[in-house]
Amino acid sequence: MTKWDVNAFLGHWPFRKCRYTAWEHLRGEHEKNGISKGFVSSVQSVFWNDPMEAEEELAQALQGSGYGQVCTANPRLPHVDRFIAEAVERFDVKAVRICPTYHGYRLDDACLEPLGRALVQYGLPLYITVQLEDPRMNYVVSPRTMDVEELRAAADVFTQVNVLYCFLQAGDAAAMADLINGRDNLYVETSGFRGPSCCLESLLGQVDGRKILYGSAYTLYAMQSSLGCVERADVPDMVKRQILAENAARFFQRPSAL
Amino acid sequence: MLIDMHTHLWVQDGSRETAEENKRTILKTCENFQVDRIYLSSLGSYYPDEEEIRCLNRMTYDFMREYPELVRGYCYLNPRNPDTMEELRRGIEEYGMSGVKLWVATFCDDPLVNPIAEQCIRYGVPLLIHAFYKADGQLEFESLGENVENLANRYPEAKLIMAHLGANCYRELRPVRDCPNVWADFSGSIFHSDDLAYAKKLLGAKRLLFGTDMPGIAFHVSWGQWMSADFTPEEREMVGWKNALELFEGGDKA
Repeated sequence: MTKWDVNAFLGHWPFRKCRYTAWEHLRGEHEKNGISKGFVSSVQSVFWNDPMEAEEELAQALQGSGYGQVCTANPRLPHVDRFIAEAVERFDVKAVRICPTYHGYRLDDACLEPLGRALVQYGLPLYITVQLEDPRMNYVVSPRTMDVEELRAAADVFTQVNVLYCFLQAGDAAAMADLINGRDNLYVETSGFRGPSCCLESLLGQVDGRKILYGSAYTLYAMQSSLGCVERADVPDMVKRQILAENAARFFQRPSAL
Repeated sequence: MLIDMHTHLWVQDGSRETAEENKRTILKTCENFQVDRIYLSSLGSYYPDEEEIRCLNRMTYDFMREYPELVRGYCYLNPRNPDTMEELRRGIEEYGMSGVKLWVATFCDDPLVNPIAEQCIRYGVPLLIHAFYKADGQLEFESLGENVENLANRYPEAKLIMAHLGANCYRELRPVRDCPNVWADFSGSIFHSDDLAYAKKLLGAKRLLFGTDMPGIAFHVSWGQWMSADFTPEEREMVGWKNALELFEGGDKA
C-alpha cells in the first residue's frame, strides 16, 4: 500500500531538546514504516525572524529526495508574496503553511490577502496549522488557540486553493464535517487524532474519507502513533489507501498557474 | 505479551451508558492490538462522594468478574471520604483489586493520603497517581511531580506510579528521578517523539510502564510511542509488560 506523509517536519523545537531533527531521522522512520514520500516543513521557519534562512536549510536537507517542501509563511512580515515567489522559484515548494497562533493574526485578518493572491497565482495549496503543541504544555510561550468558528470562517477566505487543516483534533474535524464535505477544496490530516478510541472510525461516519490525509507531525510526534490510527482502524482497505496516499495525490494536483 | 496498566470506564452525568460503550471499545481494542491484560479504574466526577465511589468500584469489579483473564482493577479512592479505609479494604480484600487509584480529589501528598499509603504498603499494592502539569487549567488538587516526590520520600516502601509522565515530562520527571519507588506510565494524549527517550534517560527503562488511558485517549497514541521509541528489544518487553507484571504480581490478590 502506498503511503505518503503530508505533515512532516525537520528542525529543532525551541522548548525542549529534540533528538530526531535531521533528514536521516525522518527518512529512516519513513522507511521503517513503508512511507515513500513526505511533505516537509521546517520547525525553525516558524520561529526565525527570517524564515527564508530556515527554508534554505530545509531545501538543502531535502535535495534529491523527491520529497516536497512546504514553506512556512508569516503574512505579517513584509512582502509575503515575494517570500512565496522566491520559495517557488528556488525550492519548487509544493504548499504553503501558515501558523496564525504563533504569528499574531486571525484567519480573517487582512494581512492574509496578499498571501491568498500568491497562492492562487502559483496554484499552491495552503496548510492551516491549528497548533504545534498541546496548549497545556506551553508554559514558556503561550500562543493563542483557534476555535472551530475561526477555522470554519477560513473556508470563506481561501476558496480558490486546496486547504489542509493540520493538527485538528478528530472532534473538531467532526464539528466541521458539513463544511469539509461540502467544499471540494477542504481537507484534514491525521496527526491531531488523539482520541477518543476509534476516533478515525467515528470520524469516517461524518467526514468523507476522501477528505482525510495521513500526516505524522514527525519529527515532533511519534510516527507510529498517527500511523497506527489509520493502519489499525477497523475500516476497509480502500479507505486506508485513500487516506494513506490517494487523497494526497489529489490534494497536491496543481491547477494551471495564472 | 502486552499489558496496559492505565485504562478506565467512565460514568458521565450519572449514566452508565458511556461505561458500557467503553467496555465494548476496550474489548475490541484489546483484540485488535493483542493486549493480554489491562488494569482499570472507573471514574466519574472530580470529587466523588462515598456512594459514587462505591458504585464506581463495583463497576470495576463487575468487569473484572466478566473477564477475569483480561481485567484487573484499581480501587479508586477519594481520601476526603470518611469511609475511604473501608472502601480500600473492600477493594483489595473482597474484590481482589491489584492497586489503588488516586485522581484529583486531593494532592497525593495530602496528609489524608497517609493512611492509604500505609495500608497499601501492608497490602503490597501500588498506588496509581494522576499527575498532570498544565500551563493553563490546572485543577485545584491536581498532583504534580513534586507532590509524588513528597509522598515517595515520606513512604519509601510504597510503590507509586506517576501517571502520564506528569504530562510535561521535561518538567515533572526530575522531581521523582531519585525516588526508586516511583514508576511512571506514559498514558495520555501527549506523544512527542522524544518523550520516552527522555523518560528512559531520567528514570531508566525498568521504571517505565505501558499505559494508554483508553478509551478516552486512543490506544494507538501510546502504542505508537512505545513502538517508535529507541528501546532495545529487552527494554521494549520490560516497558510493555515485564515491569508491570513485577510491580503488580506481588500484590495481586485475584
